[in-house]
Amino acid sequence: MNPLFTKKAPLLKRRDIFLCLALVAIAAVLFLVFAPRGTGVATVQLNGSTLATVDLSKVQSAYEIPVGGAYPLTVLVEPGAISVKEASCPDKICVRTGKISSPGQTIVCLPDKLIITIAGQNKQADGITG
Amino acid sequence: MKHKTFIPTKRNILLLAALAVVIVVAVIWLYAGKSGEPFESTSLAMGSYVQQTVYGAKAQDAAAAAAKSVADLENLIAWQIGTSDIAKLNAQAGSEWIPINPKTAQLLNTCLDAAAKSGGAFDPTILPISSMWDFGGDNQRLPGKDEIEKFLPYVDYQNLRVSVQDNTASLKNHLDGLDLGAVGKGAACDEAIAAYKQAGVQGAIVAVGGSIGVYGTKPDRTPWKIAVRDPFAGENTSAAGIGTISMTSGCVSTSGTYEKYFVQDGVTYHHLLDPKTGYPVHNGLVSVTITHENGAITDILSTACFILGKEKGIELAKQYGAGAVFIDENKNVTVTDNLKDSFKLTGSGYTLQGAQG
Repeated sequence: MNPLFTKKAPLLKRRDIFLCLALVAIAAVLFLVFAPRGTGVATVQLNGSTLATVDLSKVQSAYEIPVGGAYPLTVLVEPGAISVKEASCPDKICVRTGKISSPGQTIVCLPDKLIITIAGQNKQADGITG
Repeated sequence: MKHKTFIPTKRNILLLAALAVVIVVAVIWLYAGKSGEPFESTSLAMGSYVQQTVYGAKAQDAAAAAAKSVADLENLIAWQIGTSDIAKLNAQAGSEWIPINPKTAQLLNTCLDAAAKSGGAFDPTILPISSMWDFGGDNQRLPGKDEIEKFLPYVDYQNLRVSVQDNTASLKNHLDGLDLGAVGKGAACDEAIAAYKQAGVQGAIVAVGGSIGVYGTKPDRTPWKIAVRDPFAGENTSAAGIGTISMTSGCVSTSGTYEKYFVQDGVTYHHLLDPKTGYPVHNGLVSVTITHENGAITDILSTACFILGKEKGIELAKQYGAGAVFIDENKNVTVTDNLKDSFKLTGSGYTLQGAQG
């Protein structure tokens, strides 16, 4: 007979269930502590040096970061997103890239030597060609 | 009594086993998480954004070594850098053979070979024309017909002579000029991969602009997944790709009309110039992606196959044993047979076409 269904001495007693729940709770705490984080931490780099590091998930209201270099530009930080609002570079590719918000995304202004990255791995692919 | 002593034991064993499983899983999970933490680096070189993700013990040193290799190569082959081999060759055009770095000689030799195989669809001597258009530069403009006619005769790869024995090269006419813009990013991937190999890292991926090189394995042992950019996503370089290519080694490059272009009087002029006409080529294609073990070859072939068009491009890719993905303006995607198993179409609105290759 399967001991799970014996009435006299059940395999799982009440305190065992509590123990299981406790283990699940510990696992959940471990997960919260060690789970990969950093989604939404943007780094603004000019010519190799870091100008700003912003946790986009903690941005309450929008603000601008004026950036110098060969072609000065304005970075716009918003709750959950970052973009180049306006730029004095000739190609304006940085402005047209638009807002980025997910890990692995980048905005680059080659003329000004500006790189904005959002930390973390792109889940869809390891790299992008084109 | 017998029951009471027996069942708790079994129960305890069961609980202990469950606990052991939880601990083992947790340890593996934490360990995998730690060892899987890559070193990432971003820099600017070759007129592009260079992004590296390196896995393994010596990741940081390897990334630094790779960045230096790429910068060293740029200092050899960028015509814009006055002290580079290419700038010297251009300055000495029409006079004599000059000594160059063996690396430059090898790369020029690869270029000449590809120029011949492609019937001049790829031509490293495009500078007299490409410098007039100056795509992405401060002086980008539509050159006059007379200017194109004047300089077009100097675009001819047969004016370039290279000796890989003596490490010398020469250009025949004074107005000849080399522009390795269509090969530099791919060649830079080769340099980075060589650095990873030497450093002995577990795995690494490098992107120099749109050219990608992969080396070794990822911590989870799955193949590297490379997305192919959606040519119609505009400037949104962060948009999802139209598909993915799985690869375990080698490189991949893409040439697309969306990369560098300008609009004048309602006409769009993109940077993929036909060396035969001096003007952007219009053959219905919007992008060509090439895979090959050699990065320089992927970069060259992506340009050459674009200029040649789909049918002839597939033939050229076949000669090199390269894989190719052609995307046309009607969102038709053509994949060569040798890429069929590793390419996955994900873009909506795109349809796969058959190809011989």
